[in-house]
Amino acid sequence: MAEYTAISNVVVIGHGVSLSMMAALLGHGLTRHSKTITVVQLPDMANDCDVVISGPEFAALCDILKLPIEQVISHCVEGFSLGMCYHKDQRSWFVPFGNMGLVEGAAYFNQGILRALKDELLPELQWQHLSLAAQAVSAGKFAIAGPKQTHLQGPLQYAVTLNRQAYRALLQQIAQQAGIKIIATASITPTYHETGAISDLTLDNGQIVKGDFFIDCSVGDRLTPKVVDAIEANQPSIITMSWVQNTPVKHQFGCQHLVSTPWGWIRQTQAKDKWHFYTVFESTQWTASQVESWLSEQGFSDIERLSVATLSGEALAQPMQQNYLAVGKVVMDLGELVFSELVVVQQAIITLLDHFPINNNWSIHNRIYNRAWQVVLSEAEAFIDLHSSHFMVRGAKTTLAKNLVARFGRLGSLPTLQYDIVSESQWFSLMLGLGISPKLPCHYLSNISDTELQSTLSSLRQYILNIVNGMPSYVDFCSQVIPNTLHCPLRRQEAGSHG
Amino acid sequence: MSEHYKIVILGGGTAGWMAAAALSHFLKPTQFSVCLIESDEIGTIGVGEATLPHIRQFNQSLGIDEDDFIRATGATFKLAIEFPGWGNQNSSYFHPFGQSGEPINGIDFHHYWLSLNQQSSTPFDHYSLAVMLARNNKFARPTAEPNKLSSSFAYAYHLDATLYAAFLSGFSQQRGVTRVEGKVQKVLQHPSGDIAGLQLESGQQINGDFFIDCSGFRSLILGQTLGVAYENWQQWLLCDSAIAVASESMDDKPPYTRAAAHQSGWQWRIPLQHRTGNGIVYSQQYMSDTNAQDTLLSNIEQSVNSEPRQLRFTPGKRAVSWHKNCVAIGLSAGFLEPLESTSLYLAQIAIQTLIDCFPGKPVGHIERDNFNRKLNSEYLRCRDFIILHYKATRRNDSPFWQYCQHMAIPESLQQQLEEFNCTGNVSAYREGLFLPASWYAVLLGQGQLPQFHDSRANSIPTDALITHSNTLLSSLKSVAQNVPHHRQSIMQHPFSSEMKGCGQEKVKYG
Repeated sequence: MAEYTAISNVVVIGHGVSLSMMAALLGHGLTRHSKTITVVQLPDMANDCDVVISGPEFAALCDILKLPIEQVISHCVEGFSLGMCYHKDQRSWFVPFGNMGLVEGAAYFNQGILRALKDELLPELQWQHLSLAAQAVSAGKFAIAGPKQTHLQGPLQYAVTLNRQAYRALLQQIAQQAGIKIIATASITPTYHETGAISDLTLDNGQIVKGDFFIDCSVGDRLTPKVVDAIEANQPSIITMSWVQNTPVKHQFGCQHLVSTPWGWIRQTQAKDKWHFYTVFESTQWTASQVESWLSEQGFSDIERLSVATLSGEALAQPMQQNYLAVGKVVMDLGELVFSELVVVQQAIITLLDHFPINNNWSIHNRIYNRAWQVVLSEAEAFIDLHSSHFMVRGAKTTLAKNLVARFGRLGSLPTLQYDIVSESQWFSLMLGLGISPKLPCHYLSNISDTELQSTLSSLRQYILNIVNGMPSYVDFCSQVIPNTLHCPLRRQEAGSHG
Repeated sequence: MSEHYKIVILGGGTAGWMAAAALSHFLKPTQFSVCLIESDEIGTIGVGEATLPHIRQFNQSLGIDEDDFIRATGATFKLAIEFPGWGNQNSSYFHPFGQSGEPINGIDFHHYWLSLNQQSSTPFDHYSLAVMLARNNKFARPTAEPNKLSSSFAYAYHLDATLYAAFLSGFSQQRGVTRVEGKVQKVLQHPSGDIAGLQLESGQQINGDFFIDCSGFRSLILGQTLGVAYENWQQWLLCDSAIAVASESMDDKPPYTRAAAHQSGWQWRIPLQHRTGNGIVYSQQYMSDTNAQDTLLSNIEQSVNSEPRQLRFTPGKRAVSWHKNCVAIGLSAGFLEPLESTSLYLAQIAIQTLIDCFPGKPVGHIERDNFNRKLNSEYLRCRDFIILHYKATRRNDSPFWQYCQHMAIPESLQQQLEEFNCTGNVSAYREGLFLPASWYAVLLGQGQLPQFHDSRANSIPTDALITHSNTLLSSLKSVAQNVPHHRQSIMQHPFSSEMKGCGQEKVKYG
């Protein structure tokens, strides 16, 4: 039997907020357990946007890191969102991060909504009426559930827009407090064993950093020595484009917006005095200048282009090879239309901490991590798939997305998925928003009469409205928790379309 | 749905009546009718007298009162399964419903137990409240207080499966299920291959839109008529025979099932209120029927009060459980030996999934594919977990165990074992039995120590960890002291002798 040794030295390279996030979470999770973590910081990317968007896991993450959430909000947060508002063909719909109704995981609740919609049990009922988040956004309201309001934490899950530099500084501080050493360098040169494993890194000043396990959070994928397996090769290149606009946009606050375009979607996110835009399109169909012309025709003005980048169109299916793990590349591969850089890097870290390689039996650890990551990836890609131009014209491309759409369209339910990168309410609301509604009824609800269902949903709708009435406006909330908000144009923009 | 939809269930064993009960409860009688055909001449195999906690959820969803159910089925409570002789001939462990120990700093307790292994002789299962209660013949329902020891376990039942079927038969017929007595002479098909109806020996013809095959091992519709192939798993699960016999009820009924390993198989003991179910599962290749029966009878403590009944089976499952307009539930879909009490669970999960994916008219491939994917996954999870017990043995005292120890195993199980050996963890999955805690209970209970465990568990000094472990044991003892005896808990729901006659005399499997 081969003799394996324990992993004790972990080296993380990269830049930006991904690196700091990895350092902070590993520092919290590993350093007090006799692991040495060295962070090698490469120069920042020139075109990094000055804000970064979290997913709804933000509050849980603060809890894990024992961060005082009020302090993080006051120092780093520039905006909040309770979900995504989609705009397509003169129609809008809301996809909340939190659950529908007020009870998280209530069995067959969503099927109750479907029945009420199909049978028109309540006049003018829309599924958004039963989402606290959707109603809050519609009314221009916002609140974070307090520690004693546990029943509201599920329906009011929120994401935040963070000031990149401030958040990064905070994460670095956490990492350093955990005893992590951070070394800055302009370049690195890896040295490989004959087996293909990395033995050390040489920095620009000649310093050699040795390690047992290497994690690459750089966008450039600096450590992988060879072409790795990709899930989908030979795809057309995907172009990503981001820009900011200083002119106020007439949109609701408290959510991100996805606006339909001829090539797909533009994501619009408010952060203090600016609106940030992001889109992806296939290079075979559109060019950056054509997109810009279209934007101009649509009345977008005062815009400042931040970046145009090309994605490979390939998702890295085997991000852990030998003793190195590519995190930055997998983050980049997915684009940021529906999953931000932070969401993906956090998912990669969660997967890593769940399956941390505790010894150098790399064939097993690679298999465990990569298998788990492939499932995460397939679930993320299925969700992304539903936002692609391909889906709009020819239907879903990935097997999982095809199956989910087919099942929802027939049965109104979804199978159990392994990870939470997309919540059930997100799938549910997106499917309905895209016009997919089930053909067959849910028999588990057949013992509930129409009158009972009507009465339950009607009471719930009123209860949600009462809660919303008691919430502060989004602008007032921000004024209270984010310093200097009153000086920003939020007040001026307050006249968003609260439809 | 405008047209009336007719569902025909073939077979009145536990699976058939469970299906009838659930369908009659959840499907609107104005739109659906359910007809169950059973023959008084054909015996049923009351498989699965030991159950898993999921059955409680099944009963609750039908609105069945627990007290009524216990009285009607002669049930006792079940907290765990005891496995003597599996790790080696002299060892024994419990697989409880619930975990052993509690995570510390987000690291599972078993890693700390492994780090203490040299310094502590306390077996892993001793850190489970369910096991402590089981060993002391105590039982109380878990409390609903999160993070309290008293809520750290679940429970199931030992029940008389024939009486359970009879109980559900009454339940179903009250809700409009039509029971037809008779034997099927011919299965009638449409030109498409779909099942059109069943012709009985009496000449009566029962037509339907959708058919549920609960005909047991015969798999009359799915297997014999529709020709769905059977996947044979005997290369991993050698046992192909069982002998069952009932004995007098035990004075002090333990709240756990016993599955004791023998030289070429294993023996179960299931304590009911009114009798004790016993049986031996063995491989004909390694043990003769006579030897098996002698072994069984010589290891029963109470007086035997029925004739031993023999059963032959092939472990495995149908390639798909749902083909055309027919779904098989129970033994007609597959068979796994009752080592981990999975039989009723698999029937239950098939019924629940069928309601989740209930077909339109005509049956669509989406509901069928989703059902088959889910059931396939459930069967494979159970299969791997049962094989684990045989593979993770250190016994080499007989050719049977020598084969098991060295046999090739399914790739999925091989990967789990490699992962456990390399990391001390197994992969968790959201769909299907069993949680990682169950894997650790069996692996560690059978003495399979991984090469590595999570080194973060070593960060707590040994002395502090020993103190923590001892405190946990004291807390468990303290909680257990205030729990009533299992006998007292059962006495609150005495078996109703009037119900004895309800179940028709059929072949019992335990």
